[in-house]
Amino acid sequence: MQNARWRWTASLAIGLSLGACGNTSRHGQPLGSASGGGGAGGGDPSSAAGTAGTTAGATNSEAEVVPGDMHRLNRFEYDATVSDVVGLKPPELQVSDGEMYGFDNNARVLGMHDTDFEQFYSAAGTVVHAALADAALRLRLLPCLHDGADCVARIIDEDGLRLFRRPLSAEEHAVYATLYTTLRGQSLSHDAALEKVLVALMSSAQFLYRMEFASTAGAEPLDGYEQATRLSYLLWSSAPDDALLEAARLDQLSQDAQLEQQLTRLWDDARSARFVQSFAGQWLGARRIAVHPVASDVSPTWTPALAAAAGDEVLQNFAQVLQQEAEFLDIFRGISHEIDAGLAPLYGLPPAAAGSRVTVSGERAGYLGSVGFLTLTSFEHRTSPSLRGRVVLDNLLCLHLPSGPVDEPLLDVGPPNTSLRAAYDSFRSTPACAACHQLFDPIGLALEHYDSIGQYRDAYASGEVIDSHVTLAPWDGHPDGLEVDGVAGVVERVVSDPQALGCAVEKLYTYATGDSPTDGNARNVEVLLDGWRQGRLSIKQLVRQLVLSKTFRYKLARTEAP
Amino acid sequence: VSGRKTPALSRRAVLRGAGVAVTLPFFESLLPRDSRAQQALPLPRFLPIFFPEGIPEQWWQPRRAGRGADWALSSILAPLAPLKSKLSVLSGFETGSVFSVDGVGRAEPAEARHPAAWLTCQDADALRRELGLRSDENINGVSFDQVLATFAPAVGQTPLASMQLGLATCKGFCESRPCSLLRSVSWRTPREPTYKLVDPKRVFNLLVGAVSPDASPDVVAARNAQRSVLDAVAQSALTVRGKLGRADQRRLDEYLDALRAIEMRVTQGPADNALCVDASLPVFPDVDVEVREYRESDEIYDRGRHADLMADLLALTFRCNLTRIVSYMLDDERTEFICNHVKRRTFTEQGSTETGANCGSWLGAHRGSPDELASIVYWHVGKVAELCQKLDAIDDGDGKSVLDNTMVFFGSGMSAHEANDHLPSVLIGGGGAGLRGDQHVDLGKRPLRDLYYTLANSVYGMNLESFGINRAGAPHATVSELLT
Repeated sequence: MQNARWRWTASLAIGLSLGACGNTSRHGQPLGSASGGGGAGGGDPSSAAGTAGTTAGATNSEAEVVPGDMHRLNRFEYDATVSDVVGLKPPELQVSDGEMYGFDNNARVLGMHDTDFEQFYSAAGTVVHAALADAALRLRLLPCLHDGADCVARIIDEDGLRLFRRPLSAEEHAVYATLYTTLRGQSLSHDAALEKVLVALMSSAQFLYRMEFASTAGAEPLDGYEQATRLSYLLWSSAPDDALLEAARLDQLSQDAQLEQQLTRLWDDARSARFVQSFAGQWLGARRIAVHPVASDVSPTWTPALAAAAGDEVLQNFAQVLQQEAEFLDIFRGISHEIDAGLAPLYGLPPAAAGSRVTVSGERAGYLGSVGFLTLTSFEHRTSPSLRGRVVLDNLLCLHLPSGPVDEPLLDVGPPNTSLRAAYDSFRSTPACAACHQLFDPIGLALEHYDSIGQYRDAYASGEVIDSHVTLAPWDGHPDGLEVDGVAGVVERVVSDPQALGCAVEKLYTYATGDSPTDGNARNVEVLLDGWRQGRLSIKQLVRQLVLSKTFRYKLARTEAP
Repeated sequence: VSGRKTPALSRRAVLRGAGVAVTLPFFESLLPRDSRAQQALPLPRFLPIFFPEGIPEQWWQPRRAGRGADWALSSILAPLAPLKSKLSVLSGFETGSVFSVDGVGRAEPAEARHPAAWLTCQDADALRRELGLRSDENINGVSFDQVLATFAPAVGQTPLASMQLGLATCKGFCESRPCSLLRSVSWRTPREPTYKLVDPKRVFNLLVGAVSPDASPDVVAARNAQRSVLDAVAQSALTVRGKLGRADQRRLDEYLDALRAIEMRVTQGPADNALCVDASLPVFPDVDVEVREYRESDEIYDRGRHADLMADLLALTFRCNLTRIVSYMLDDERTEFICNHVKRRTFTEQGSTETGANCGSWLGAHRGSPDELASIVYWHVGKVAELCQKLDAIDDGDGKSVLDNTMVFFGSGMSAHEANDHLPSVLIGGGGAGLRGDQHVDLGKRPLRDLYYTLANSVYGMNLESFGINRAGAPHATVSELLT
């Protein structure tokens, strides 16, 4: 048992060896096959490093319509939708949201188990009851007060429109109107019956799922309400507001100019912060920092407040690139920004008064130099160059390396804060391991000046001076590799890789569609990317292209479960 | 309920596709779930209880195999002494053969594979490779509890087909694999883990529908109103079902199934729940893990109290017949929780004594003294013993206790760290279902899937032909030692 955990974590760091790295692939396809070019070799790791699926030449410039799925609202969306539509934050749910392709809005992981429905149903009861007890919210939910049939009908139609994100059909209307009558027949008061009708609307499948009614024959355009719903869930993680519903009713969204006008309006609304929280929060890991394990004996200064500040910083960096309409990859290059004073020591900045803001600039202003990234890619008690390098390749360049093999050697690297370099050198001299490790270890070794919570260090605790000077494995455009040093070197590695653009676009597309980035979607990512190559686009311009494309304006029902 | 069609067979079809081979009698397989349920006898309950991180066999395994007076519990299992006559310690189960021909499963960062295989006997990594899935996509085998919840006779008699509970209040590291592999031992389909309920309040809310203090007119009126609401919600969904594509229809059917479960609970009159009338449970103050993560016990959060409440609720769940299949995770694999609520103990052959100091994290216990990990496991054995004694105190009719009609499978996915032979395993209760007690069986080296195969066919009377995988090619075999 002694030392078992050390041995284990060492094996995690060093144990990602796989001779199959020559077959490194995106989405399980052999490299290069996704776009029919690229020239990736079968067994040659050097070509594998540099060539990924999206680097080949232009394809047909029109996006194709890919079969899509009905999405259940995930926890984040449910919370946002109820907050916006009813005006009250619902109770926290423990429903079964999963995660797929890095995001929690993929339809395939949004099931409805028995205990999930129970929670939605009981949350509806809680929220409606509380809202009707609040004078202002009550007025919004109940636009008229008498118990005549016309008033009941109006309430069902107006609340139904906001909750179902479209007008109720006559059939649907009849169901809820009949419910009201039935409940009155059971001696419930007008108020009590209306409360139950609202609970029923909020427990309905039409509210809990974003439904698009299928076309049986082939792709067909979304109707205005469906388009409004896609748009609002992309930018706000929530239902369309009244103005967007009105634009849908007037069929304005089918016209580019009107659609763009709405898009601008949605970006300018404070609710678009949810796009940053949800998209960047997941892709760049900001959401996970609060729960990332940090060993308190190794990093005693790490606190939950610091973790929260580190997460906020990642989001803020992203938000700044978004709002300044800078080029997408400036997330990695970094733009000077303010951080919470608590983070100052980790950035080597002079201490500042608690609660104040200090400015971080230079290489550490980018994502790769951030406390958030450097912490998330470490183990709880030490850094892992392999893990850091691997996350860069996997998450930022979308090179999906296979998971490690069985039967690999365990390497004992000793206590924290000792040099890993010698261990890594010996490890990479093993051919079976080197195939993958030579791709990602140098990237991580270049970041060794930053410890497991992203604090600068000159030397390990043993006194050995850290050398962050490395030779990177070759990649597209750099057939001989490149000698780099530190964070700036890794930034150079990432932004000069043609795959960085493709990966960022793929992540955005995956999030925006809530679908897998494979198959037909992979082609659509290519199309989007082609547009981008014409002139480096900002995130907003990219979203605009996507929203104006067929991908976002057409629907096609999936006939079989994926 | 109106003439709604809920497709009870769709999930079964999915599971069949996933390689769970069950033969159903021809007519029976065509009947909807409801009508099958009405014909069958109550189902023996199944309660797998998982603890993380494992424990080497030298701590767990009793000295001698045998029955009655011929064997004694090991020191770490001592808290189970009051239940000795109703349990079997099973030594020698392994999941190594799930991973490789020679059963050597020690592998690269793979802690996730052990809990993932515990109830499924499948290699999640291999499935991922075979299907060409990425490392962030959920995939695992279907777990045995879910096979029972789908295929066992009489599952449809309870409002919920199954439930998963857990005590994990903070999240651990996921090894670049889907976190679900470490956080859920129960898998509904190969792509869908069953998510745990951690907050006792949520479990209590589930029970409230089934528990009714009396049959006063108000309660009846409230039930009628609820039934009307749920009926309307179902009718509303049916108005759009035909407008959806086929894959989305299946999603909607899942929704309708869930709706039907709660409807059933509401429509069950108070008379059905006569045993549940005095549900005067205390409600735990603040376990809402989505709001706040608890990394250790403090003045607000107490892991011992959390476990006790969950045990009370579990007992109530069984007593009220909310479901008969529950999986329970005492914590997640690779948990970061600090066990400062556990006192360190010193273990000898004869027993153990408390030494006073608090334990640290599970992870730290691996780094630290072996006694520390054993102390943490000992505490959890104690909680399982208390839970089982609670179940044993509830009358289940015919002179049997609830425990007698419940098979509690208590264990972990590892023995020594990352080793998947000599899995710590105890089977408690089940005497009413034909399980033998008071024995320590040394099975030598035996695939864990044989346990599930035995329970399915010899206890549940199913025709389970195959379950899980065995790379050594060993055929399924009945563990006859378990049975009277």
